[in-house]
Amino acid sequence: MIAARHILLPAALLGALAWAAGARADSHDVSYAPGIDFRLLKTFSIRAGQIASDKPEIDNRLFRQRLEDSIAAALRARGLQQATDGADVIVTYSFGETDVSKVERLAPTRIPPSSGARGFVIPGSGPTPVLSTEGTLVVDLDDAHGALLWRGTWRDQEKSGPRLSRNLSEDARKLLAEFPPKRR
Amino acid sequence: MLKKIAYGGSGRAVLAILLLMASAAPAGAADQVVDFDRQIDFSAVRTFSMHGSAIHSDRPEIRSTLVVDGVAASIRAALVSHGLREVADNADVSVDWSAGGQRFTINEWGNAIPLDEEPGGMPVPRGNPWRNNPESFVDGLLVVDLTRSGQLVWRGVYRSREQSSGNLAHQLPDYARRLLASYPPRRR
Repeated sequence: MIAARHILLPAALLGALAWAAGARADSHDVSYAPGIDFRLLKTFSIRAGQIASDKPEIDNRLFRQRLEDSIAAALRARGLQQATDGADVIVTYSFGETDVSKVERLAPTRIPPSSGARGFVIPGSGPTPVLSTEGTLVVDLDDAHGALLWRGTWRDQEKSGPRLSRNLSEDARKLLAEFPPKRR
Repeated sequence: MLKKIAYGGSGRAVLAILLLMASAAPAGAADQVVDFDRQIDFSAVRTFSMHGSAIHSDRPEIRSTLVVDGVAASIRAALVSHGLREVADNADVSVDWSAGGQRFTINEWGNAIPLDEEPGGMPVPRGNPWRNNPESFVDGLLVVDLTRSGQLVWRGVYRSREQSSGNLAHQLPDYARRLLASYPPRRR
């Protein structure tokens, strides 16, 4: 009889692998102009952003509305007020996406892993094509003269366009959670 | 398929779970997203009219009046079930929809090669050696738009992977039903 620990450990590993395969792959970066006291910035306004996508779930005014609402809510949560004109900070955003194709191969798995023991082998699989969409969201905060004060970049790779569309407004919120930059 | 080295009877159930987990790894599962105008009170929308439709595919299975009629009937049924009434003129919202499928072939190295030219995408080059390969799967797409005074107020996008263009043609009415199950949008 196979000991429970010989089954449960590989099971947990396989589960983690399966989860990781479907997990979101996000990365982000924030940079800002040195010597700026961001605490002095009290108001913001949002300019129409640029969206470079031919996906109908992204290239439409409702998506823009949702993204801008998310940006505005995130900045309000950081203590800034939205202003129609004369704002301290002008927010612009841009978004682009590209389809990504890769090939996955799964090696055979022996359970338990030691070759001498009784157990099973789950044969490997593949090559299997895996298609996904990688989106890049850039949020810029400029001063009234157009000088860049703060830039956040968020890369999000998702299995489907609808999932990317759903997550982008949340991505914007998480990106702006790093504003204002912490003083060192 | 599971290859047995030596039989351990008590492992059967756990192995079944393992296989289930492995097969549950995402492989182009169906997905959808709905966006809507937050300024619109959708409970006040009472009537609709079917406006336009488009099929972005040259496959005869998909580019067919049967598919057009099937999707339109599915949209009508869904909206009527939500209390809306179809009218010919002066509707509160107009319904437009489009459907399409991007076909892929899988080459000998496992790469997915698109067989169709996407609008705005890269065309399949003439010299592409896989250009005439048979389709391995199709990424299906259905977009349903509700517009009011020419302005988009609700959009649902449904994507799913199908084994063939024929399968996609049969599934499109169901895509519409699933998309409109989330109509009217709930205000947050």
